[in-house]
Amino acid sequence: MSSEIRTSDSVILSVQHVAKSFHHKKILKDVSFQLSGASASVLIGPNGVGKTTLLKTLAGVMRPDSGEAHLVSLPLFTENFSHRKHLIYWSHQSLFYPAFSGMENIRFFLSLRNQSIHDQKIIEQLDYFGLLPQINDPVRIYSAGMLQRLTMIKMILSDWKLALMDEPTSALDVDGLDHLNHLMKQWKEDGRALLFSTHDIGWAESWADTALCIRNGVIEQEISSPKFQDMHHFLSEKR
Amino acid sequence: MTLLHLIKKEIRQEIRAKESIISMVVFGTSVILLFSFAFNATPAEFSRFLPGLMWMTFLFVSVLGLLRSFSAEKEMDAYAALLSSPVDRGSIYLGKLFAFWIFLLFAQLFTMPLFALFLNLNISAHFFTFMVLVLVTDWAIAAVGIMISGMGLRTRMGEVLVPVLMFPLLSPVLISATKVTHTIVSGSTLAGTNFWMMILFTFAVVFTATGYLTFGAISEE
Repeated sequence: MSSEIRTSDSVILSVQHVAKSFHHKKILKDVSFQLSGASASVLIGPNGVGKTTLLKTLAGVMRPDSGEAHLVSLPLFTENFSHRKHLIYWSHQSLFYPAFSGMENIRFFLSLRNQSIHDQKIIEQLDYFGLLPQINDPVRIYSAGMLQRLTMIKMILSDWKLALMDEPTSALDVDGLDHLNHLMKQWKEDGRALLFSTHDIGWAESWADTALCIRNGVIEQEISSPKFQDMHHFLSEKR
Repeated sequence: MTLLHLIKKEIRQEIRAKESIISMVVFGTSVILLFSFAFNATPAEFSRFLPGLMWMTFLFVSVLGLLRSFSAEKEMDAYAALLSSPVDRGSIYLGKLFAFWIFLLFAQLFTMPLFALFLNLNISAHFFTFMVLVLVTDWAIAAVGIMISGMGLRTRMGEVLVPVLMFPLLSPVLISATKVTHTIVSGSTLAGTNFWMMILFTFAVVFTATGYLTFGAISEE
């Protein structure tokens, strides 16, 4: 899978003037930025500034009021959904069907991406992530950490160029966080683009090449190679 | 191909969770039994209002099933994963529509004989026409119902929205199905039913097309 990616020099996501409001309140006013391959960007900002709204809008869960976005040069906000195969969305909810087992959920979501994969490969991943004993259990009975691990398996087995991740570290134990760190490194090396939000700015410092600092519905600052202090300073400013 | 995956997912989910069909059958059976005990009418009198009672029952049964049709999407927000996948919204609508149509037919397979047993429903004179009527009417109910349930997915009043919007919208379907059923039950000639069947077919086609084309705008936040 990784051999197909290698698009590090090109722009993978370009967002221009995206706006979104709820009940006449403008959450996103004018958001513009670009993401390149082999890079990770963190969205930081106080609670309620629209980080999740922006990720959901780019993922196709919400409709923007205005603005444009291009994913590998293809328009994102259109009725042609086929090129959404290049993106994958990791929400802070687990996005699985509760009555299905982990295996069935993975198989179903891969089929939507027109990917067929041998069951043995899914079993190997379930084993690696310690979920093999629950192979036939419905995900309804999984813990939050187990669901996060299952999401990692979905990400590993899917082909994508851009990952939109909303609080990926939440509910992960030390072992789960180690898995995620390993994957973040792998994905960047593969040339993929990562856009994530997190309140753990220490973790963000380890991975982010750019911090997109969002406030008042716009990207107020873009910080290259952000340090903990830079992000902490932005978050503690009162405006 | 994607549509087939979506339909299979709905059916497998129903087999696992057993949420819709069982509640639809139990509710339908209860209503039929209540009708048979509550009305003390002769078979001749009953045949006058039986078609209306029957379709009203199936409409209530449908509401019950429709309220469950998006519950699995909501619990862990799997619907967000569907929307972020490379799947067109029309296919999501058609998958849900087809699966719900199957569930409704399945529920009727169990409850329809009870209408014959307790309320003297007799369709033997025009059995084939009755089958066509059920297939088309159920499709029309499912086409409108899934569209409204999709609307309710992203609103706080979702569960209220289904009956409040569905009953007025489906009144032409209910009237047409009742008129045709009345002719079938009375055993008279079917010549006068073409108009009503045409309304049912038109309704089913128009609302399927509307749902297919607008489901994205309806169901995204």
